[in-house]
Amino acid sequence: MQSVETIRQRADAAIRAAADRAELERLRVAYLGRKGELTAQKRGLKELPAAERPAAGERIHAACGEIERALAERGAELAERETAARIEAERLDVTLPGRRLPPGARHPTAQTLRRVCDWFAAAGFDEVYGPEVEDDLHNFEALNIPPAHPARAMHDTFYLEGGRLLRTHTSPVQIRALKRRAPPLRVIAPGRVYRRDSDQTHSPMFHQVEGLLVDRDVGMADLKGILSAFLEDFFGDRAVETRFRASYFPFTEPSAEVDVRVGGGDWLEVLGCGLVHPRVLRAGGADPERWSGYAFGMGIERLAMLRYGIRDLRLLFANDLRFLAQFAGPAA
Amino acid sequence: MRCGLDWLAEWAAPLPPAAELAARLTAAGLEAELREPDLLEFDLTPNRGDCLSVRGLAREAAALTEAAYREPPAPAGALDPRLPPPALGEVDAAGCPGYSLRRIDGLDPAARTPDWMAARLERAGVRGHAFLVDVTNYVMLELGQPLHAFDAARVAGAVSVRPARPGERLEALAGGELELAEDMLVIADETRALAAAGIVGGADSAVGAGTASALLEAALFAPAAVAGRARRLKLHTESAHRFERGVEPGLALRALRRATALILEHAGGRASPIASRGRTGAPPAAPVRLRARRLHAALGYAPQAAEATRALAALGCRVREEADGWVAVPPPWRYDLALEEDLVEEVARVLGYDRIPRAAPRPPPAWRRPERPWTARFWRCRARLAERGWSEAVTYSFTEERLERLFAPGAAPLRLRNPLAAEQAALRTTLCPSLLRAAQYNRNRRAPGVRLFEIARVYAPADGGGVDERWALAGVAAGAAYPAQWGAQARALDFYDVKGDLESLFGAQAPALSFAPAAHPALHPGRAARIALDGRPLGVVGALHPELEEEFGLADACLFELELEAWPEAPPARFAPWPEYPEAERDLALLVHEDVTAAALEDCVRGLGVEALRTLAVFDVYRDPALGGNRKSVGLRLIFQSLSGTLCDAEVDGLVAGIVGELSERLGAELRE
Repeated sequence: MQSVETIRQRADAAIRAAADRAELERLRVAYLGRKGELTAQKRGLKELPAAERPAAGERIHAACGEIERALAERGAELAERETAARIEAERLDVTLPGRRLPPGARHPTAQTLRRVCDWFAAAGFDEVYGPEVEDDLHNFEALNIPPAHPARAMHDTFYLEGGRLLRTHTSPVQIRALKRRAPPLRVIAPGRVYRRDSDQTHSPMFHQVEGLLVDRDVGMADLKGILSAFLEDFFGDRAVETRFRASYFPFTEPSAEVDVRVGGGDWLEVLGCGLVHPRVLRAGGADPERWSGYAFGMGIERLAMLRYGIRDLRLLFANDLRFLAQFAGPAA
Repeated sequence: MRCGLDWLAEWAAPLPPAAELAARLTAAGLEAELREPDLLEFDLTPNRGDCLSVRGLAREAAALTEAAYREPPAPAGALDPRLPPPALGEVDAAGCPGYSLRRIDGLDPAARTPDWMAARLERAGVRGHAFLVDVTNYVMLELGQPLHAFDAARVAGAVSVRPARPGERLEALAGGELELAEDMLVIADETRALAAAGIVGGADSAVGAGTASALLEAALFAPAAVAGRARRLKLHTESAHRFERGVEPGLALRALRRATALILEHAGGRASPIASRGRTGAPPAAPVRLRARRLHAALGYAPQAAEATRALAALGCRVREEADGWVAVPPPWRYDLALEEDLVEEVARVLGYDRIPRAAPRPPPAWRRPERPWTARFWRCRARLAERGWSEAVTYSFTEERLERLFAPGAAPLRLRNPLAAEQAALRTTLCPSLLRAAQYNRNRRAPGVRLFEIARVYAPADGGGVDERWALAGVAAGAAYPAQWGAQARALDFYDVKGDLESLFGAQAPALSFAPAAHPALHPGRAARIALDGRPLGVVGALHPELEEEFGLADACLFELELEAWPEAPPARFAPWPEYPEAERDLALLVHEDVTAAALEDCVRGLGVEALRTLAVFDVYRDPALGGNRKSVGLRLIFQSLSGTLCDAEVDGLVAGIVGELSERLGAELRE
């Protein structure tokens, strides 16, 4: 019968030489398993004289412990080596592009429109919509633009067979909103508008956002406050100055044009505004002695061009993917 | 209008430096740009007809800069009482509240425009003409009153102002032969029209070299009698521009005398007394009240009483201060001042908009539930489509009627009366043709793959002459399914790509969608489906009809269009627990006739109402002539799971057998080994 020590040494050598974890498992079974060599030694204890048994048992137990330790040690070593080999084999060229369908882009005009409407929604303005096919009453007459008014010449109008027209501005929504809701009210009306004019700087169709607030004692100071705050936010990545100039619109009085200067550049005209003309309030069913209001209107394409550095208006209607792709923007 | 600073400085002095003056005028609503170091160009708003003259601009400049204003000369003018005034006939009082005419005889036919006058006209951008015409233009620029000179030798009998007769024509000084309308006034002699009133004179009664005797006219035409007429005649004249905006009443005689004096000075001659009809003076202006309270509310600050008084007086108003404000009587040239708001604006302008303070935005008056616009979902559609590679287009709302008919042969789209081009003559009833054009544009520029969508309104005539405007969402896709890349096999977009993206729009609502084969004039008859949500029609999806490929220069384009207003808002998701018991999965390979659709297979299986059937999916479609009998093999995956316990194999086998039996009986399906 071999000595426990011989068995242990032999096992130790075999464990050290084992090439993989499967072999280690075989060795564990061969030495420590139910039919293993050291297990057989344990069984043989009862044949020893009683006085020798404790010491022999002690030796076997220690040998088992050492073999288990060696197995664990070698096992960890082999596992580490296998993982390292796998990692080496699975190495990728991480610079190869990802599998992809690049995201598309929302139109810069739509993004600008959204930005404007969201800002005013946060200021309590409800988003409302009016028809694009309008009548003379809402587009002109109720806005204090009677038939002979020279302002009509500035609104080159598309007429439909049958006398209706394509709205030349979003201002008719002022009348519709006033008729539908009693003051105080604040609404914002985005949408398409049409003018019979097409060249490098004019599109026969473009977008406007109209704002209307009717309340008690509304004045130019309110208008200056809200529009300056809006423009500072809209162009907010650089220093923004705003300037209000006297102007004329038949449906507001006093009227103003608002210019912005961003980062010390040139003054740029961005929107028109004013206090709602009493005739407009009356046309909408509000008593101008009790209520006053302000209104403003801005061209979305113009704001988009300024915001994104687009020089040619026509790009906003060409739907060229080389253009649109630039506005896909990150998920944030 | 252009004006040299020297001319302006004659009536308003001292003026600030040119750039400062331009800025001050611009800030006050008279947009002025420095064209040359001493030449201003004005872009005036239509309410300021009073500033379409050097006199008006000087008055305004003086009011805004506190310069002193001096009136231009108003000579009494020499007249020869022996010369009879010209004969006047009927004068249409509504369209022409005042008409004055005088005769000047014995003119030097060789008279030339003095150099100083020619230079001023040129600087003002007014082309030089014969001497008499130059004088009328000069006085118009100086005072704002348009004048006209007729060659007296070409005028037969009394001069009248009357509506144009049906079909009446006028060979005009500018614009060729005009066809006059009955709502236009003419100046006529006893035989014919001499001029379109307030717009343009006739060629054959015009003064020119050789005119020895002239009739000089100064009239006041009502804006309503002139507005829009010049445009309709495709003319733009200085005279019409002024009369449309309104000319100061009571200016006519003064202008006539000033022109006469200039003519007599440079061409000699004798002037007759003036013949007038109607009003020659200005009607008295009504006083306008301005309440201090209103002024304060409108401006956001309270100007001092004296400041406001000064501002209004500087503009020519007679102002009286009262306990609670002011009463102002506007000067005759400010016939646009009639309301309290008009005075508010004038005070604001003169004191400067820069003085208006900036108030903090008002909080909404009272808390109320915020209104969610139903268009918010448009933005969600945009976001979802963009995630899936679609870019947003903005195309015109008008289109070519011929293209409309390809999509809706029977429809009668709304037509524009005055389109810019034939391709933009109809309001569209579908977004697809415009998007196809946009896709074509990109494909022609070598875009490998195109996915474009648009959210916009479509328009249709409604009952009772109204217009039905509805929001639609449409998309067109063509070309490569994705950019060339190493990690995926290149392939073309197809129907199922588009259908998949469409389904993704509906999220968990997608199972409620149904797609039924459909006929559509613009879609491939074998690749078109009507889309419905819970049975409600929502739109179409399909491949472009092969016959239209050439029209749009696109091969294998797929498109869809949804009526957004037919898409009901989804109710909030309701959580449903899933069974805790294990699933049993079975795959069936079924041989069916080519005509048996996936929907038919699904309906047949679902029709059995097997409660434990959790999932039913087509995972494979295989075609091979070897299958025979025009058949295809469809792989169906069935997943069973019960809420009440573990299903044993025998139970599942029983359910599968039932399903296969039903498929076989109703659809002739055969289980393939």
